[in-house]
Amino acid sequence: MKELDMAKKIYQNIKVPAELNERINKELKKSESNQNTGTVKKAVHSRLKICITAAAACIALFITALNTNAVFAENAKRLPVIGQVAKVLTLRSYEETDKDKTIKVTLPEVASEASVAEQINKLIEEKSKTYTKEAAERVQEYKDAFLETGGTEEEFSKKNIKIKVDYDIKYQDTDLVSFVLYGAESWVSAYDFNTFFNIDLKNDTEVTLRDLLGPDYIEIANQSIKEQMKQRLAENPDNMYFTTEEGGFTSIDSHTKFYINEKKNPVIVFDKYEVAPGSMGIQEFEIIKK
Amino acid sequence: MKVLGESVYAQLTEYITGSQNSFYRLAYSYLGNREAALDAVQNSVCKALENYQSIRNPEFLKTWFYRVLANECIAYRKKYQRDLPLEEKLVQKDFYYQKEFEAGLNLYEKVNRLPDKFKTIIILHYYEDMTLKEISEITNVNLNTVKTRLYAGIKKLQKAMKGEELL
Repeated sequence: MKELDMAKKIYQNIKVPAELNERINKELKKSESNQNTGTVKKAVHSRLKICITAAAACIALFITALNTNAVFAENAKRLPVIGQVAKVLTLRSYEETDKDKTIKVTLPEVASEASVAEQINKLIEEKSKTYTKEAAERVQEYKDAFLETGGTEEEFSKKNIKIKVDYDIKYQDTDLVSFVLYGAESWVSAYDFNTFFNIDLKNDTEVTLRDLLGPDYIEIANQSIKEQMKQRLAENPDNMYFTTEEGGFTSIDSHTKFYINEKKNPVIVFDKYEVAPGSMGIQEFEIIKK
Repeated sequence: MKVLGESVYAQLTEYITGSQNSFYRLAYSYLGNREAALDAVQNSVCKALENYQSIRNPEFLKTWFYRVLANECIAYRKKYQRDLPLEEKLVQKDFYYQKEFEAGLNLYEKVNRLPDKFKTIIILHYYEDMTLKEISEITNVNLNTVKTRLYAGIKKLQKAMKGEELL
């Protein structure tokens, strides 16, 4: 039967993307480390490192206290120096656990009269709400499939699935704040999100790359990113970026994600798979103004 | 017990690494979309690695994995049905397509349009060269039903090829 043979040939000639192997290796690695430790790996995002100078420790303590005590927060705002620094605070933090999962949410709030702050606070709350709702639905679907394929309720509980929404402050002073809101699920990484907020509180606007790098910001950033990619490729032969034909990096635009680091330089962020294979993870490029 | 568990795990990871291309082709046939097929295979691997303890006998590893994969594909399509473009025709860039395949193109597309219960059996049996017994384990239906469905599927295809039935 020639037709069937040829149909089989077509089937066998389905192109398998190189990405498949990367994705599978990632799952194998994840599973292997779980095998070794016997625990479910926590969310991948690394917390912002706080320098342990006396002053920084002091500020960190104040922020913790601020977050837990409204009266203290009111007073702290009036204190010189410290009151000025604490612009991004935890609005609320809660944890919900049922037999299938734990949802842990830490929501930031920009403490400012600026109207842009108000909009962003609203956005943060909506984003977190939608994400946790959808994540809970995904867990339910996973559970249904798990039970259908012969798993038990008890085994599913043991997976100890966690859903997390949290934030990291990247930079803050009296007039300027930069932070990232992110969500992650312990059992699957495909739905992770990160949203960056850069706010000029003094002028009540969101900071753009143009504000930081000038009218030629696209060119400046592109050149710097390309140089840094070249350098990273030279440093490690395992590093790899997609070529232009593969949908790799061509140019940034006004919507490209970035945050502001402690040196007040913009850092451009590409999600996993955006410019490089998944094994390269999230790619960040600090753009130094010349 | 522990030693057995570890060896099943080792066998599973080896099997997954070695047969990943087959997994992808099956997923692609179900979903007709590159990204969706990648997601479905990855999710299946993730689930398989978490649940391998439920495999009592390493002999059933292959059929067990295919069952996870087939279920995942069907679940994926149900969930994202609206987002998946309906590819009536074969997307040539997703294949190493050669002109000589032309004769099978019509049949290939018709197989993909069969209802799942027939399609799974035809693909696994004719494309992946699995025995009907293996297919019965994968689809979780008894051997006689598999046979009946295989013949019913072939009949549907024959009719469709003659233009007597629309798929």
